[in-house]
Amino acid sequence: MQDSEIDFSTVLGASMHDMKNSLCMLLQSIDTINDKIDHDDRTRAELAQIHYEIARVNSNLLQLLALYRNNNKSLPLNVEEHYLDEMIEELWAKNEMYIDNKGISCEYEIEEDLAWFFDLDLISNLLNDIVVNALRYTHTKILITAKKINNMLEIQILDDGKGYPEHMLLPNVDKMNAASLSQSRTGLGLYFATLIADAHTNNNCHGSINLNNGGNLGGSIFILRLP
Amino acid sequence: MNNPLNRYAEIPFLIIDDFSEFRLSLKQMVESFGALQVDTCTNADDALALYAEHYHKVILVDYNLGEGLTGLQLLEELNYRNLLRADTIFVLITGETAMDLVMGALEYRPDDYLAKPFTRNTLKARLDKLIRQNELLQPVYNSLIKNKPNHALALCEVLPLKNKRTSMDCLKIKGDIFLKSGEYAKAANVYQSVTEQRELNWALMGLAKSYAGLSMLPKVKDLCERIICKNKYALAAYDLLTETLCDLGDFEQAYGLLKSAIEISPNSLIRQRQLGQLALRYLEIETAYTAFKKVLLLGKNSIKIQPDDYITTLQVICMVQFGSYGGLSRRAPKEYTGIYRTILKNYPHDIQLNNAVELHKVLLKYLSNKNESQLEEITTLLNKISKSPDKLKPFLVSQISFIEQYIDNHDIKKAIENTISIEQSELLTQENAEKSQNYNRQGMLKFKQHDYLAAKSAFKTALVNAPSNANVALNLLQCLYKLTIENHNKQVEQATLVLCARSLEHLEPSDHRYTHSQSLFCHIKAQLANKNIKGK
Repeated sequence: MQDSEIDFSTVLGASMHDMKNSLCMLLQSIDTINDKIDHDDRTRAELAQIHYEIARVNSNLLQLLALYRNNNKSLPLNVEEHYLDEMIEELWAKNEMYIDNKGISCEYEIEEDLAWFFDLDLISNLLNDIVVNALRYTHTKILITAKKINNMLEIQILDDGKGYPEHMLLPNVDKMNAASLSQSRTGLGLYFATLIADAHTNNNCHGSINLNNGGNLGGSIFILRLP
Repeated sequence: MNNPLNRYAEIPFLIIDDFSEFRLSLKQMVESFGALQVDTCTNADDALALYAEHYHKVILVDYNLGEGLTGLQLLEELNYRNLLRADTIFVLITGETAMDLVMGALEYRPDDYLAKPFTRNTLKARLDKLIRQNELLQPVYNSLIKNKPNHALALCEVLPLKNKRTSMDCLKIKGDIFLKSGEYAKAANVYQSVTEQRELNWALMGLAKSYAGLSMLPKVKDLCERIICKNKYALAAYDLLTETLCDLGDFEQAYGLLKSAIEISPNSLIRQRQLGQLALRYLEIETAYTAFKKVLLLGKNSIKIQPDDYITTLQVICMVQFGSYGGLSRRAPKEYTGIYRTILKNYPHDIQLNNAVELHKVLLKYLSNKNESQLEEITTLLNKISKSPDKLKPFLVSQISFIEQYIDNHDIKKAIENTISIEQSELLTQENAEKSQNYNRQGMLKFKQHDYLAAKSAFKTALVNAPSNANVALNLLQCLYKLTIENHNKQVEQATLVLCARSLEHLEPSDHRYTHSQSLFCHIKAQLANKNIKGK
């Protein structure tokens, strides 16, 4: 046995644990400050900014580890049945401070008792990443819809912002190269989202993501389909 | 009910984290939800003590607890000690979830995982959801706590009709109850109804266990392979597949599989023991040596270690010493003294064990200097053992036949023949998986026809041909139970019960067959006692 050989993924896991503890404390301190101070526009904006950056650091950490594991073909899924309304409500709860401080209205339209099979952590991290991004670029609203279409679950995240820039609407996000990864802050997140979606399979069908502009709110539309 | 604050006031919490700021901040969070009784501690040992006293409704535990057990191992320990109540909500907090959770056994799943970092709001949302779900299922949990499985089953039929969101949990509970009562065909139906919707790992695993109970071994093999293909860390599937391959007589594949399982998780005593035994079968002495050394190490603080492990380890070291393994042959013998000391310390009153150790010591002396006087010493010891009124324990039989392999001497052979009864030597040498499977099938057929006497004799032959096959032992036990019900008490011999017990004693309490066999033993005992009183 190779006891002496240090497993990189273990080291990564251990240091992540430490960083996550710090992030947790940081979030809670800000929560407390948020409860105690008067909110003028300036502090609102600053608090929103802090929240946004913490969410980004966190999702980057998660993505790094997941990507590393995927390279080693060991990204395991923990698929269970989950109710969509519960997951979306938790998404709102997670970002409540950000939402309040930016004064954005968030709604969802979900078929009653809609449940689906997926890895809750991976999918809710994926969606959170998109929601945090939408919260930053939208004007006033975000809408999440979920419905069953042709035996696939389709989740859409819509906003009334300016929409995705043209170059991001290319059909194949999964064929992104190193150059496009370094170009935009969202590149890595989308690559990760593709990976997670694709790892979800059922009856030889794979999950997928899609970017679009327009829709009812006229801004960006993010679409996740899961088999 | 209407005021969520009131709801939390009645819920006792237990928070475990070694990181003090985090522990405190978690406590403040749940207190801000209205919780009034919040216990905290820093490690698994204290948590076990606190929980055993208060049976908290919600346990929030960090995966990483510094030194000592992890949060997941705490869950295993709670299960192992049979402490965890069915209605306790166990939430594991993790830095990153995927890896931590898949490494755990499928049997011990926390009710939920919470990934760091989270805010007060996230925690609240998650707890609200868990408590709501828990309240819906409370009637079922109550029946389980009162040990009324049939009542729980009936509730599991009704609840989903009232609330769709309980259906998956009810299926899970139903499958578990059927497995634990040995109703494998019904269990298989339940799990199948899940896998038809989606191939969830726990349902595939449940299905595999049901098929194992029904002795449909090729199906078990297929299912386990499918689970491992989906998740290469699914250790429970490795364990069941190894067992199945052994039952099928395919030891070579079992050996290979076990090696991969050990690479993923080397710290299971039972798995290391199995590896050691299979390595011995293939005469890979160095692997056996490493495995058994690990068994003794892991056994230091575990009730899972058995006298047999020490004797086998002594034998393995002896093989290393007198084989050609270079430096290892010189180094290994230094470990004898430590093992002798541990045996004496842990089992000071086990005469048979001490006899086995004595035999080992004299054999070593003889092998080193080939002196005739040592042969006499061995013969004397054997004669002494043969006069013992007690039945010889397996480790002593094993040590005696170990001597036979090393010494080619007429007197010794004779003494050994006198010592080991025929039945016991059969137990050792006859291992015929195929024969066992045939007799087992025959037994199941007779059992279905309610011919329990014929079934018993078939199962018994099956078990003698595969002494470590727990499924066959359980069939035999079930058969004995039927015989007591039908007033055939004389047919339920003590020796047959011991045979069953020996094959079943290696089961872990988490194994559904453990629960089933325990209740069968209890029922048989009650029946026998009952009939005796009536007879008088």
